[in-house]
Amino acid sequence: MTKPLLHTVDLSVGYSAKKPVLSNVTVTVLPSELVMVAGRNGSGKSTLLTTILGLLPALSGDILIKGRSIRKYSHAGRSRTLSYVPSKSNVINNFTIQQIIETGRAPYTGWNNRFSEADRFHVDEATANLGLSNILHRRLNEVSDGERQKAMIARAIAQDAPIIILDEPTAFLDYPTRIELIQILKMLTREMKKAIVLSSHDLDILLPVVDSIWFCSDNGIVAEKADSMMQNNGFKMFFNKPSL
Amino acid sequence: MKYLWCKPAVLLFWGTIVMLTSCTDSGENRKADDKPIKNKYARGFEIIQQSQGYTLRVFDPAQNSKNNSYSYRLTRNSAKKNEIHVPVKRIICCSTSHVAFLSALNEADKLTGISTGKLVFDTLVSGRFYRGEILDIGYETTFDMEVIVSLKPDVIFAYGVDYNSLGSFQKIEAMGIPVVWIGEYLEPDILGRTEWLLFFSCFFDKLNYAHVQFDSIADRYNKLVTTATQHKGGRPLVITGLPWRGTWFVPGGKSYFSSLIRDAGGEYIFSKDTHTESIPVPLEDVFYQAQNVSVWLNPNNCVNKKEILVTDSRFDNFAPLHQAIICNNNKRMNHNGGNDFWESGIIHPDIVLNDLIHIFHDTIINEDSLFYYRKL
Amino acid sequence: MQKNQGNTVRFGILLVVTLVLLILDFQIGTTHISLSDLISFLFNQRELDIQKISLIKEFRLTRVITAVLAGGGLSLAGLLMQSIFRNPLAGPYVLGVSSGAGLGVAILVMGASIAGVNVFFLNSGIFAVFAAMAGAALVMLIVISASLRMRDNVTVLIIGILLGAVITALISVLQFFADSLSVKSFVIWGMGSLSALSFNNMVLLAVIILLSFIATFSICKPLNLFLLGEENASVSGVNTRKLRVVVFAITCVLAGTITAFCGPIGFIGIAVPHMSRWMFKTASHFVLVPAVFLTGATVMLLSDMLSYSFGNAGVLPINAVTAVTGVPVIIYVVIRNQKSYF
Repeated sequence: MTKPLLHTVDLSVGYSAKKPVLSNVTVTVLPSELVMVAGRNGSGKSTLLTTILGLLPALSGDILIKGRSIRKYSHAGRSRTLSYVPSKSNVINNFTIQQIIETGRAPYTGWNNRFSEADRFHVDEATANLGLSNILHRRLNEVSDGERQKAMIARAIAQDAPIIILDEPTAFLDYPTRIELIQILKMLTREMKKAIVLSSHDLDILLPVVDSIWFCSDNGIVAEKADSMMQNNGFKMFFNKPSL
Repeated sequence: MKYLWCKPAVLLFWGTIVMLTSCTDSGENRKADDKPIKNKYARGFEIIQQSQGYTLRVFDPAQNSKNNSYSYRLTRNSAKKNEIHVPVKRIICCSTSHVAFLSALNEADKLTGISTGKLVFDTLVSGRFYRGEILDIGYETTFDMEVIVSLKPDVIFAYGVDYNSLGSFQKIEAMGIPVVWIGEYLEPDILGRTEWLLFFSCFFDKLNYAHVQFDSIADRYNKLVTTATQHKGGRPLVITGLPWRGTWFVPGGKSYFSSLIRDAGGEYIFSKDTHTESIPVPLEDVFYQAQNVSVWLNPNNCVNKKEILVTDSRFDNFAPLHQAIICNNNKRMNHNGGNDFWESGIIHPDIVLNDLIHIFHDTIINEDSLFYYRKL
Repeated sequence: MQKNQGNTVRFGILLVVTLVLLILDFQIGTTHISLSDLISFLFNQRELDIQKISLIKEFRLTRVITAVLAGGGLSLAGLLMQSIFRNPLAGPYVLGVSSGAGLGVAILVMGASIAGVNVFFLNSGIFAVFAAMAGAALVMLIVISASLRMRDNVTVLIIGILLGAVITALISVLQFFADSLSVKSFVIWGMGSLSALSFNNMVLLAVIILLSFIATFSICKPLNLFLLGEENASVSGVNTRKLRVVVFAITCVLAGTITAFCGPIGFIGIAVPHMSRWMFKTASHFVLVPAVFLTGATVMLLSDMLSYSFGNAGVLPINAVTAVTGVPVIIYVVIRNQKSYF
């Protein structure tokens, strides 16, 4: 049994202690695992991911990253372990695509942002993986939504963290791009050994490739391995209306 | 023709015309017994002596006021609407300089209300103020209307620096209290300021007494001017004031200050300027042009050279700080900051001039010979 | 970050322009001082008479360097505020620092006259500086403790703006009760002045501005990341709360010190960062921090020269000139870049 990369212990997340969005969350992420977080809108997917990243304080419980509590990690330490692609990139500046991807290396460059060979390598690799080499010099307001999203993903890849968390990364993408994206994520887990946690509504595309699914609902969260879920029809959790 | 004006109808017609013209009561029309008095120095007012009293006119009593004049009718008979009965018995003043005029006329006991009473230097008046016999009416923008009305003044002598503040007195006028504007501080001539004594005296029907007083003051002053200008040894260069935020606001070349310096036998370094009000001069220019002044007057509130240095450390390189004679007109101050120079100094221009003559021409200045000024 | 050759050339031009304006502004004034006088002053003072040396050192040189420091410093503070609030209209005074400085001076100049205190230091330059510093420091204290407690950027901004409004109200109460002379003194302070400093004051200002510049340059990387959004910055390793406190502290020191010495000088802090972004075509702080400083210095030197240009009217207050030069720039830049400001 491999040691989990990420392990939550009786985690309770939300914005107010009186009304937690999700409670008693105990889930695990293994290295190279592709986890899908599913659930209806408002069921707490984003809140859970934001809390795991350390952007929102947990209401109770703990998050262990590589066996150590997240509270013991500094900002810098966390940035070397977790990378993040938000659902809507509200980046309101005129950085070029290249500059965006380069910010992924921030945890490793010094105060003057000097790039070493290794830094260059990671940036170039991420650029190639996302197919962005041709538009490196375009500015953010000159590219499409899909290209912008890809740039943010490339940035997360360049960050070279063992866990990548994506919040509805396919939300604004067209169908072919969605397929493309899922393939890239699959490649990242298989070949680059990254653990990936993403929230999405695209059950149809993701089901064939994910390793685990976390279902979020009013009753709490249920984590299932994809294979076993097929067998015991865990879908019931997702569609909690009896008619369906 | 000679039969025409004998007819009763015509007589009636002409009689009516004569009556109408003689009964017109605007201050502008001169009547037969009007005796306008020509001021020797003052330009801000005019007195017209009449059989039952006086008509007084005041011109532009505030800064940036142009071509505005005010008329006041004073009468010894019972006052009709828009007339003031003299002698007045209850007065309110808005400036401490007015107090000096009243004291000189021995009428300070008629004072019942004053603005900023704690700044009055005159001991009799401030004594009455602290005993509550004179009430404070507030100031400029914050007059206490209830106090003013309760005092039932016969007249209020008003003072307004800016033309726009003249409006705050409209409320008082609306209450039926006569407001009389005093613009003595705008006179470019020193004796012109003192001459307002005549203006004030009309309110007490003491014009002749005031004439005698003023003439003797003017006489003494002019005699001193003669001795000063005959003094051998040249005219010392004079600078005044202190800078603020890199700019030195100095009196203009045609201000009363400039002529006062000239009368005392000195030379104000900006005497060639043509303004009557203050002008802003960059500090750099003053430093350069005033290197050779031998007398430095009125450095704001300072009482010694160290304080001047604290206001701006660049004065260390300013030769006059170390070499010039520095005198400030704050020798006579009460503990609230009221300066007698601005009070009794107005009616004692000869003493002021005497002080300056000592400052300019004495080889060694004896503190005791100075009345309003102290040496730093 | 990619290196932009064009930017190196632009920096070169900017530096040359700054130096040229420095020399030109140095020569402006009633007394004629030439370039050779300046050279003599710097290298061989025996050739000049004492008066000229004092004039150059305490007045001309001081005024010109103050212009560079104030222009650069205020622009730097403006850049910091625009980046931390991600708002193109933010400026150095958005946290209420200049209002705090104004309150300090108002209490000194007007409050003392109302209370009947009549001491020499009321019209003293150095006490006005102390009073302004005290007021600015008080506001800085409030803003920093608020930012330590609040999660949200916008809340601190609102607190700063409201604090500024309350202080302005207090100042107008003082103006209502004070006598005309005191009010005029305060109004003159509010117009700003580059020539109120002695050489020693200017050196002190220079040290503070230099330290602030170094501090700002050291946080260029987190500031760049902050432009990606608070969440993205945090995930990339930036302690956003600490960054905010540091940025507010530097801004308060810059804006507070400059306002204390020179009075409030407006519009430069808002306009210059936009000018620099437009000139250098980048959002990266590594380029913008020095660019904004130099551009701000240039604009202030120009404004100083302009304020002496209306010979008969005397010297115009610097605030009036910066408003006239700054506002058209803001309008032009805002219209031209309607889609995005950064």
